[in-house]
Amino acid sequence: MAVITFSLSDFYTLLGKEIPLQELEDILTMMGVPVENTNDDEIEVEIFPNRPDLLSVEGLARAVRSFTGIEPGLKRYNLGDSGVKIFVEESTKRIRPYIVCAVARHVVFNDKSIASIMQIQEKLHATIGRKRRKAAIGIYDFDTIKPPIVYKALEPNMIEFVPLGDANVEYGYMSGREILIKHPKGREYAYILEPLDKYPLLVDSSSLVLSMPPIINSENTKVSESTKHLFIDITGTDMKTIKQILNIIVTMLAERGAKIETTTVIYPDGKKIVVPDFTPAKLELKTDYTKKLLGISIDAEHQAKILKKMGYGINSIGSRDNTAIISVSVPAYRTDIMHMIDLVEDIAIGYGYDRFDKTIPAVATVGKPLKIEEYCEKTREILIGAGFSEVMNFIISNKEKLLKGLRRDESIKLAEIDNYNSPDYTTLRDTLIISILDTFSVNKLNPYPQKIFEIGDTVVPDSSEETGAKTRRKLCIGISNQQATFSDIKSVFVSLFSNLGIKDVRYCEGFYPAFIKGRCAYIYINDKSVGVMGEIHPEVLTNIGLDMPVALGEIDIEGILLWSERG
Amino acid sequence: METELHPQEIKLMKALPKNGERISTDNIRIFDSVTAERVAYWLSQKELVKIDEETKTLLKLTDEGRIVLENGFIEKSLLKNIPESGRIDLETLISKGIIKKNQVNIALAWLKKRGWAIFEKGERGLIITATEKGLAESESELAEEKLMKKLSESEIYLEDIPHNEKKYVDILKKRNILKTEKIKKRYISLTEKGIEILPKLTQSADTINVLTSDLIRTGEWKKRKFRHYKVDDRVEPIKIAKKHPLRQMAEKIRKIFLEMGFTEARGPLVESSFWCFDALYQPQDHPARDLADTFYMKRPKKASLPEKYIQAVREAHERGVDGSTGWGYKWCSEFAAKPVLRTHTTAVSARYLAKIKPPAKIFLIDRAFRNEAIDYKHLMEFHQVEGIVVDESVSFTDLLGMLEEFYNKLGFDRVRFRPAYFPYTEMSVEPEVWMESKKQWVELGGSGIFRPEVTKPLGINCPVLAWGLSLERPVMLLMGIDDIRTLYKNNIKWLQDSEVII
Repeated sequence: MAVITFSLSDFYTLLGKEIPLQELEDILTMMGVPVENTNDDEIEVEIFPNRPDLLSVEGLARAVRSFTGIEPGLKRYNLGDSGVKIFVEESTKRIRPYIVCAVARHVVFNDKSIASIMQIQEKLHATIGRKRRKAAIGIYDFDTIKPPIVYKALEPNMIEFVPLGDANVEYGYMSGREILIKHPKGREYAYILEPLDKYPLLVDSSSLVLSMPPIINSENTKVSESTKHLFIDITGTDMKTIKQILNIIVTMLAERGAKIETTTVIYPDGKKIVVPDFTPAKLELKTDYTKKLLGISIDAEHQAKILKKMGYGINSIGSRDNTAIISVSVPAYRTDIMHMIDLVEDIAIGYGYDRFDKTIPAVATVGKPLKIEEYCEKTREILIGAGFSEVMNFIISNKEKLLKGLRRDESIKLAEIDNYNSPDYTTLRDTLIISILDTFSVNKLNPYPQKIFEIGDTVVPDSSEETGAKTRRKLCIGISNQQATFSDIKSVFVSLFSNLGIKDVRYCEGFYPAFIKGRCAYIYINDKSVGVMGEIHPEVLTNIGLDMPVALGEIDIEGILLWSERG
Repeated sequence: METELHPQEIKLMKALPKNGERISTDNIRIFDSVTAERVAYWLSQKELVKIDEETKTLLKLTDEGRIVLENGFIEKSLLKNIPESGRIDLETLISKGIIKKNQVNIALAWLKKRGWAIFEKGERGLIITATEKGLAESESELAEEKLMKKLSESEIYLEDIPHNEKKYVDILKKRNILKTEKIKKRYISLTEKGIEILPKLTQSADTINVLTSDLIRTGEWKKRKFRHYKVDDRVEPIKIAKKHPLRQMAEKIRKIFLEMGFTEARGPLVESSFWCFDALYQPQDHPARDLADTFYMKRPKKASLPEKYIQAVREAHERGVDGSTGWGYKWCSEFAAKPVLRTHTTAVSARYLAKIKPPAKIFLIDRAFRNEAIDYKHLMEFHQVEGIVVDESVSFTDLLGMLEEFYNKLGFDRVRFRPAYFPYTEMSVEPEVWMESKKQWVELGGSGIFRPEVTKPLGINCPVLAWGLSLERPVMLLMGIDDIRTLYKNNIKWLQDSEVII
């Protein structure tokens, strides 16, 4: 979740007018930009991942200008030619193959605009840049650079330059490797370059290093108070993404009056691309599709009008196959438009989610409950009638507790999580016994006797299953008291089975290690083993911190249902 | 006098001093103090007895005190070990083990204070010479010792100690031999009214206290009167076993969907990345698939993929379907085969889309997992209310109508819809309900219409309305719970006492 912060007064300046705060909050929310916080002149909003173009106050003001009718339709930006060439060397191909650049002249610098540039870089890196792995941004003082520029990859020890410091620290010359070890940014993003034998480097015609993407710029090309023009590069592993990011950044600068100029990137195969490219993508929208999907009657003109409100250009409204078709120009900074359904959503937002009629789907179907859920519900009713309270525990449990804690063989294979974040929660329970015992252990201060049950899922690895694991519904019933005996728990199961209409139940001496030997029974129904019950072994009780006896039983309720259905 | 006194009440009144003197509830032998206090409370309501409450200070020996009681004061045992000569040097005392180094200061201080010994410097350190007083007193029982003995035998209160002995309490307290504890004591005495009716109190043989089957069978009850109960007396509540609040809500929701003609679904908790993400058009480098958000499995390590859909899903991601541009990256089937703990129940919806033919309405209420640290707002494991409506005729207004109706049925009157974003829906909507108590809109889940990139590869060519809503949130709102962990604590008392969800 990306949250951006900006100054309200700066926003109003960019917008060209003031809107009462409450009204603005409503507009933003209904545009799909929920307001998280407001504090004097500061406002914090959440930007959804599909709209990186809104990650700056400039981009957001642009959207609101069009949404509120101040400046609807496709926003056009002038594009000059800087004449700057960037030569991409073959060596980058396996390392970080793509680069696009632009020049922004006469950039307005003040506290607000600088904060915004810093913020959007950080947010773009974190979101569609995928923590700089997929795309990273570099911004330089254009006047410090002598084009043409070369993008290459060098062995870490062949790289040497002074990396950008900050207000507190200045650095001296460092090698590529040293930067990864000593520089804070180097350490933060080292994981991207470390596995590589060469690191990417951007140098100008006088061999001045601009940066070592995606880690750090050089001190020499730093943007300062006296900077007037910017050089911008985006490097990455995906051409589409870096072009999108470049468009988002330069149009944002243009919103404050900067003049944007193209550069020419020349790839090793001789292919030249001129970027940035603001040519809008063309998309056709079938207006019937909109109507059908939204469930409202909204004609082509109305749809076109709303599309303009959402910042699109309308090329023409024609018709084909008995439906009106709108030819739409998608702004170059929009990265999320893949299908005409994306236009439909923007029409819905422009129309206003709050203005839609609400209807009940006229889809006649007959509802069908799941057998297992019905069966569990009946079982719950029986047990509650017998005075047992239902408890609900997590399915994620702990391997130690499940095996050693229950005195079971520690080589039993359980379904385990690889990247668990708490050592208490590492493994999926294969039995509810641990859940019931856990519950008793948190209730030590409550009055006894305690009678509880849980009906819930367990998981075990099973290579015959498509996902490699089997989900199984089980039932566990527990009694804890000064005296909680085998016959106490057996009585419950005997009555439960007879209430559920289950006959042919046998109880044979069991050897489940969590129970006291000689006070444990396996339960068989129609000669199928379905569960176990007995008095819990004192060692197990001690393991979980209990000093009150527990009698308990667990059955595979899903198995019982399956077998009874098969007859 | 009316005969409406309970037999217990009569018993207690008779046990009290007839002259109206007070007696501690601990000293009424026929009752334990809890019963005595309860019965006394009934009587006090009738103004027959008076209850006084006093806070008293109980004197207790500390652990150290008990050791001293057994071994005697250190200065006493030191003096006893002085040889006939009447003098001894400190080094010898220590080397003989009569006194420990860390006790030296205390022992010397008390010897001096009591005037039991005099000190001078000698060759081997300090030389201690016992005084007459010392020799005499160390043989007899000290006042402090008497007090300690008394304390160890019975409960003694500071308030009951004679004034001239109070200084010993202070001394012992300073020496960490004794501690005090404030205790509430209750005293009961008969009121004037109580004294007055006491002689007339006999439990009449004419009144029926408890109706027994004997009395009914013999018809004896006809000859006698029933003792009147005091109907507004407090009684002990009973324990109510019931379903877990989350279950109550789940069942309520289940009923709503079944009534609306939905079919109930279920799917695996350990799910392949394919059904959890890929089939839902989430690109393979999508942040939601990061280790920081999703639990990946160490065992099982690999899931099998549904041959029938692999190609279509690959194409949707790489080049797009139905006129979509797709994500434009190289899709990797190995990545899709990684088993995860399903991060949303929408994985089950995806499975059903591949299975069903429209028209269809499917729902489930089941668990989902996220790699999150547990706090008052977050759990790594929670429930979702999942649903899809699959039909040629359905539209966005139907989605909004469905959700509004649903929340109305749960008891939320004001519902609004906010634009949102999910990679697999377009329109994406977050429904919110108004909480008057919090004066704010509360978000309850996500919903939308599945993108064609989701539905087409699975063989569905009509719109699919979909939602994945929180089960925990509405339960918390209705029960006034602020900490989500409360729901999974399973405090039996809370489970028994909490109000049911209607």
